Amino acid sequence: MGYRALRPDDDVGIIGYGVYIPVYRIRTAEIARVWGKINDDLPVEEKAVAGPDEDAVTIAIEAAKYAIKRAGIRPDEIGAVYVGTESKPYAVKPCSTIVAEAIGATPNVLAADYEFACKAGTEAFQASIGLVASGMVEYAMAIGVDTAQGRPADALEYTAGSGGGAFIFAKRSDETVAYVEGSYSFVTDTPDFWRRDGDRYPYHMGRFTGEPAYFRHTIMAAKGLMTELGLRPSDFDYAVFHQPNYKFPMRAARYLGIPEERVKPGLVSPMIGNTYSGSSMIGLAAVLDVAKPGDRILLVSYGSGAGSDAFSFIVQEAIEEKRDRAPKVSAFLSRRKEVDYSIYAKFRNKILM
Amino acid sequence: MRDVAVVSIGYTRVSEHWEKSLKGLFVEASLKALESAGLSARSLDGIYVANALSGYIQGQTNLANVLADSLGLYDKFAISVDAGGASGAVAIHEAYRDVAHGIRDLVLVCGVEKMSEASPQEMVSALTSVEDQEQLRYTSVTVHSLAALIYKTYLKRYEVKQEDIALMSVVDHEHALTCSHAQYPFKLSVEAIMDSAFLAEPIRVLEAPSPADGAAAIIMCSHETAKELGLPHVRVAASEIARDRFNLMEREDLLAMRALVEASRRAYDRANIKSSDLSFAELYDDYSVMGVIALEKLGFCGPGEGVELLRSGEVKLRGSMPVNTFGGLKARGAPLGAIGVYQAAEAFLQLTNGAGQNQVKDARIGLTHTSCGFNSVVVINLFEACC
Amino acid sequence: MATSAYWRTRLHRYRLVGNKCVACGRIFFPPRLVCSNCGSTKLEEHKLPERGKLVEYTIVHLAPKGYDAVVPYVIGIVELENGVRVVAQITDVDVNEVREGMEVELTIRRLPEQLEGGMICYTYKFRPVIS
Repeated sequence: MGYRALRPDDDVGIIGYGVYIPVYRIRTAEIARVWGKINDDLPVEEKAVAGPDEDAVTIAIEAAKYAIKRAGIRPDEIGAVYVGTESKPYAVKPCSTIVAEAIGATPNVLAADYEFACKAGTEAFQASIGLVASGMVEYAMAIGVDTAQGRPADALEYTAGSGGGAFIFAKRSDETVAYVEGSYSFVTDTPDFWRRDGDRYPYHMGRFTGEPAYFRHTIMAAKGLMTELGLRPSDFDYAVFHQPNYKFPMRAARYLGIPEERVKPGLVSPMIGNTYSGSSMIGLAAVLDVAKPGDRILLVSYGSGAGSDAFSFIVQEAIEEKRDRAPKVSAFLSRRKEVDYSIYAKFRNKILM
Repeated sequence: MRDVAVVSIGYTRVSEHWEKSLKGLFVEASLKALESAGLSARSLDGIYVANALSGYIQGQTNLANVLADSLGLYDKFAISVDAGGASGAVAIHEAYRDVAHGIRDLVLVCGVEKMSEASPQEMVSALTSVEDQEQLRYTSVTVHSLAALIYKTYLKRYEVKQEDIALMSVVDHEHALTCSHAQYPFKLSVEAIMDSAFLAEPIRVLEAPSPADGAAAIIMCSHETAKELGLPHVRVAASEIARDRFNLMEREDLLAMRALVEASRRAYDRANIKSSDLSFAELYDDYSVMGVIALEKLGFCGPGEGVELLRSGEVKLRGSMPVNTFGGLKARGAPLGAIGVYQAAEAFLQLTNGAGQNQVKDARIGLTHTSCGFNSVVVINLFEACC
Repeated sequence: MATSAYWRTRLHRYRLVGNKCVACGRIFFPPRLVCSNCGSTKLEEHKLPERGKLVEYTIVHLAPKGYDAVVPYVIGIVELENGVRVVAQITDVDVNEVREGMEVELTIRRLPEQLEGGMICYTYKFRPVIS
């Protein structure tokens, strides 16, 4: 059984990054009020709600443009635009072409949509790193975005949120804000959560989504990466996990022996909920917003179905100047308008018309 | 070029005519005009049909030819004139030009519109259809919102109150009280206006006309023929068209209304008059503020003085500058493509002493102002009492 | 509007691309074929700045067809950084919070109207700047 880390022949780094989180929020206490669950433990404080004129495409465009701002490159220099999402507005028609057109990367560009539940964005990371390292393109952009729908009264309604992150990869240089030491993916066919075509809401297997799904893949991917790169948990200054709620990433950190304080800076789900494909990417951006050159960041995504991508990034000097070129995650977190359940239901098209 | 006269008019009431089709309205107005003149349809050299929205609302294109058929008019010229709200006046302009140049003599101009068949939401889109679709379609920008931006600009620049601008609608309604063809022949107070719902803030529903159905027809011919027919008639003293940029953002100043100034100046020059020589004016007040602006641009008062003129009461029937003598767009009503012809018919009534309780004393020369878009196309027709 | 007509407008919808008259320098948005200022037919593509100030606004209450679920909404005149003015919807802002002078920036958003076959329309709007 040859487990191998993914290490590009040439070093690849992140030359620009950006996020976008919609302005609306609904407090989970409000959701609980509607469904009579006021005494239950709430998995997050509140979640971000896409407005009536937003979808995965519009959020992806915003995040992409902020990434380009930080990168300081021309959009037509981008060789690939990959959008990872499970809330595609079209069942068949790529989001990535609309994004590529809107940012000015067309026509000389690769574009494709990725799907792997919540790890679609980091799948796109892998592909982007490969394209860049091989010299096939100079810049490749990977976007993870979702406007996930939660079934009313279901547990996941408390966390299904909207948001996205975009990362542009280039060969490592003085312009990159962090470079990839290596990555490691752990994938099996594990049916913890899925949605059939035509169904409005996904189906999840309750507690099965824990140990055999999220934790197994997250831990195995993280351990595999550390083994292959010869790293220990204490070598990481920050750890960002896929964040379906508050508890899971904290528990994953405990299993791996990573202290809480190193996870908290990248933990945004308590404020915005689970942004699915955007989740670990927004967490990574939040860490880049505060990290110092030389810091090592562990990123472990998780996508149901199931799999995890683990990455190790080393932060570079360029982060100090570039992080201020576009709004930080904290700016989006403080930009909030609360709505009640009725407005949330209207915005999210949950009302039969 | 020979002199052109209007010899006869006919019109339906402005209303929601559920039981009448476009053909029904057209035939009614046309036959009234013909009967008034003791003429048969066959004696006409041609007809000009003004309409803005039949293609959009009724799915009926090629309207003039279909309506000519409904009148039993064959072997004769028929042409559709489509210019949004200015259609009626442009049709009159076309007829005027043809008759003046001897191309045709006895012609009928009829404006007809049936707006009741569109829902209120469809109506917003229908009204927006006269604007540049590449600019406005699929943007959520509506004509009401553009009017509101003009309104707010006016309020700020001249520091006037909306209640004073709303007086335009109050005056319209007062004049409509005694108008038998008006859509809304009842009084309207400023309070009622300010209480009504918003179209786009600050514009209230009661500051703009409602969708309406109606047809108005006038018969035009050379002055010679008018004399031969022995009918009381009025002369077309001028008919001028001017145009401006449709994209409001391309205009230097939202309130300049260049085309309105241009067309009216040319018309005054052509008729050798000053604005103060006018006995009355029918304004295109598709929003109260547009009526106020028209008062200024037509020269009845200075910039920003429109509300003062309204408040003074001089714009009423007994005043020095009566406007909208039968209720204007708000109260007489505004079946879009027909407006210009209704205005002409009303001018005819004034100038032939046929306006009844709405009669302006010693009416000698009157103006009609018709617009497409926001004075993007302006037609100023001047009519003069004759013989 | 046909799908092809919507597609023809994508540059100006998605990227705020207008054009500029080579002869007199006037900038147009949406783009024009003939300069309305000097009549020249030589116009070149010109991307407009994405930031500006809200100089005037109104709140739409009577919805056009398809917009029932989203009224009231804000329509405003945005004066971009280069002085060119654009009319557009202002989004992500409460109708009672919108103010003249607000700093706004371009955002591409989805319209509630769809073309035939359910084709989604995206178009330019403006939202308060995020700093």
